[in-house]
Amino acid sequence: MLGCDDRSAPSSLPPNDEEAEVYGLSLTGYKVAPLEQVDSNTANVFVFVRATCPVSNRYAPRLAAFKEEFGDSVKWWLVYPNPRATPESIHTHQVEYGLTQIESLRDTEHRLVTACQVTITPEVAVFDAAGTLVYHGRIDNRYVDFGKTRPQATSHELEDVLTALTEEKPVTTEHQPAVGCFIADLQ
Amino acid sequence: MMRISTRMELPCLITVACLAWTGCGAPKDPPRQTETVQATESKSATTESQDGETARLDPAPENGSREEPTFANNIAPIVYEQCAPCHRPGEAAPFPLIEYEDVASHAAQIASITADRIMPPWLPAAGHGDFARERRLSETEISQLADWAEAGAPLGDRDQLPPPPQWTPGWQLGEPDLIAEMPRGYALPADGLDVYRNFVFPIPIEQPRWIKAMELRPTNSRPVHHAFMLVDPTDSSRRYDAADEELGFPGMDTRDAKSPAGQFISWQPGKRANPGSDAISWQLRPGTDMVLQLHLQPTGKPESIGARVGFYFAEGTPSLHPMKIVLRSTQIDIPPGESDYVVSQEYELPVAVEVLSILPHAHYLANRMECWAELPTGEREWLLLIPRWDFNWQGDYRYEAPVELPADSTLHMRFVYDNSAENIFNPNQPPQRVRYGLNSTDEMAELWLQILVRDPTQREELRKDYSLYVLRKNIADKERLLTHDETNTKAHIDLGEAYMVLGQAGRAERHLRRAVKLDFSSGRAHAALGAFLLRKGNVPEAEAELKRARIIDPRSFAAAHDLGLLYLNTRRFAAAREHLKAAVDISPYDPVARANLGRALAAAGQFDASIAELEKSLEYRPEHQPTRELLEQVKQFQQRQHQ
Repeated sequence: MLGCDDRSAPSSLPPNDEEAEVYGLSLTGYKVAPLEQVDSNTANVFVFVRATCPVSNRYAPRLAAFKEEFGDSVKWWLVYPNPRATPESIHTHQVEYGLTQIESLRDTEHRLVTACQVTITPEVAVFDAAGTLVYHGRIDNRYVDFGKTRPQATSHELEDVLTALTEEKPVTTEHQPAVGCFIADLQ
Repeated sequence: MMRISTRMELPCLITVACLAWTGCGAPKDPPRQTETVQATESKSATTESQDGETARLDPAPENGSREEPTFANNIAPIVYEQCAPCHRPGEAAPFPLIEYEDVASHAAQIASITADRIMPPWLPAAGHGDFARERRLSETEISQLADWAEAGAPLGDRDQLPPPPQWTPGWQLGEPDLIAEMPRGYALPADGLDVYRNFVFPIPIEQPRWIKAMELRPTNSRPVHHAFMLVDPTDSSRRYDAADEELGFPGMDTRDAKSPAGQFISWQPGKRANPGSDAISWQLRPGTDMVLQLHLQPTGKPESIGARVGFYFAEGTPSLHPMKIVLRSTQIDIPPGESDYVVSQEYELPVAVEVLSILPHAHYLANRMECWAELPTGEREWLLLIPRWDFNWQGDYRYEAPVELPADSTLHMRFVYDNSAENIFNPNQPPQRVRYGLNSTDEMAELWLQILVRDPTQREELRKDYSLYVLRKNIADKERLLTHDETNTKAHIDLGEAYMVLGQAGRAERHLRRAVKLDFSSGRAHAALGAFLLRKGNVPEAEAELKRARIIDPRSFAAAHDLGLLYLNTRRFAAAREHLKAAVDISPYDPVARANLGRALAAAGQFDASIAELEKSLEYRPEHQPTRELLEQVKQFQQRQHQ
């Protein structure tokens, strides 16, 4: 179904993390425990998205740009908490929105959701190399509330957090509530 | 020929507003974690809703019981009626809300967003104007949606589920009589700011037709958040389009395109096309271009957007002739940080009217918008109140029944702007000074009303009165402009033409001469001065000015036509033919140019050619008696010639 696209298989761990409590499923069905590989990266970013969420989608080019900008020291994950999202639909979504370069995980049981303390799509969670959750919340402040959008963002939380981590400075960004669809609706 | 616009429809300076129907937002409280029950087909909660008692504002729901709402019994009808028109495949909303599973997967979000009345999107406040097809939920419906989410979004009995509504596929109004189509799709990039663009394409109409309705069908609805349908009988928009390789011309300013006579036609997602009526139709003439202003919002992936516009012909000729009255102000100069900047305008109606629809218009900073009529009795008749303007949801509103206003009522417009940092819609952070203008960085204040004169015999009286009102305001605006910048050539030309209409020849001439002096390279200045001098009877100087205009701008219709007319009036028929032919070439569908060329040809004894031109002229303007009579005369001459 997904052909020989090996992007969805984790690169550095054995394919099947049977023991792990906190895991997501790769598109080919393997359990992946992303929190057990945080130490090899300066920053680990989890982006929770939903394929039909226009806010998630509008951020797609920005996420792709960030990945480019911050390079290999930052590990990105695209997490889909909608239990009804099939691997095929996720793959299509990634292709359509230019996000195939980010590993995607299905989080049907919301284990990653809980570990990352997220409640909205899109919302990001960032862990440092020590495995500390240093930030979770919105990507930037473009979306203010239901139906209220700034013409342009004036604060860029995710970018600030990643900049701090990659420059080995302390993260001072506070958690900022995200705006979007409710993960709680996805049971 | 004077090219002054004294018609009702003013240049349509439309900002197309950004749509935020994303409908997504932060909940007021953290979202409740609903109980994780086993995923079965039914999501019926096993516990009763806490809210078992019925503290509702309206009587208990029809199913007669005090049970929690279920999708099958209570929610589906609401969603089908109020949400699904946009939230269905092929329409603008990003996800469907028809099937139970889809709706349930947004249950808490729906409860939150409807409680805040962000969805369905509807700006006007209740009780201030009764509009047709209001997109508003009742308090009961909002309560039910909240209770349903609280209860875990139960399905209920699937057998009780009403069938989803059926929508007409394709054109809502049926197969159109005529279709105009964008020549190809416009490529919208994946990312970036919102795009405002004006697409110009021909309307393939062969003869004048009365149009009762127009329907817009974008090929790709999702990125289209607002559209405005305008027309241009000149080639002006086409020329703007041709300025670069890309389709259309950019910006909120639609320049020379105008909304059809007596109408304003906007499109928002889910808006049902107005079927119109035979009685209220407008005439579309051959050679008119469609100018479709689209506001496009990037979606995160590249999109291609095309569009088709369907035209529906009316039976017969219209019996009612709506007019547009526009209350507007150009006196806008908002200091940064000012949060309560008021702009107002008024117009006293000399005759009794009925108001059919209303369209408020501003850019990002407008906050509160008010429109009311003050009746001669002193009573106030509210026409519109928008407590919080959202430029994303700009649109026109039709009244359920026309609003009757007696003669001597005064129409009032009052807009309040917020240019502070607290206004999240402020595109400038930190805030900057914002003045009147057509660009997105400027502000505007306009209120368009579509009205019918109650007594048709009084129509002309209103037209004249309103024309003068507009003319005087334009003159005041331009004069004010010149006090700030005396070298504004365009203002001098506009004033010159305006004073000509008012019959103030001295002022007209002073301004037009000043315009030419300020900018000797302006074709328009020379053409306007030439036209004035021709009217005044100063032929040699008029000829010099018009010739200069022709050289500077060979594609100026006014210069070609007026020079041809000058030669016609002074019996230099060969020269008349040369320039009138050029005018016809520039605007083939202009009936006046054709008629004058016909005259010039007849004067030279070229009766066959003359008849051809006169007949064409009558095709485009059949009601013009003098042309008809001239045609008869020329035919007689032609007959005699054959004998």
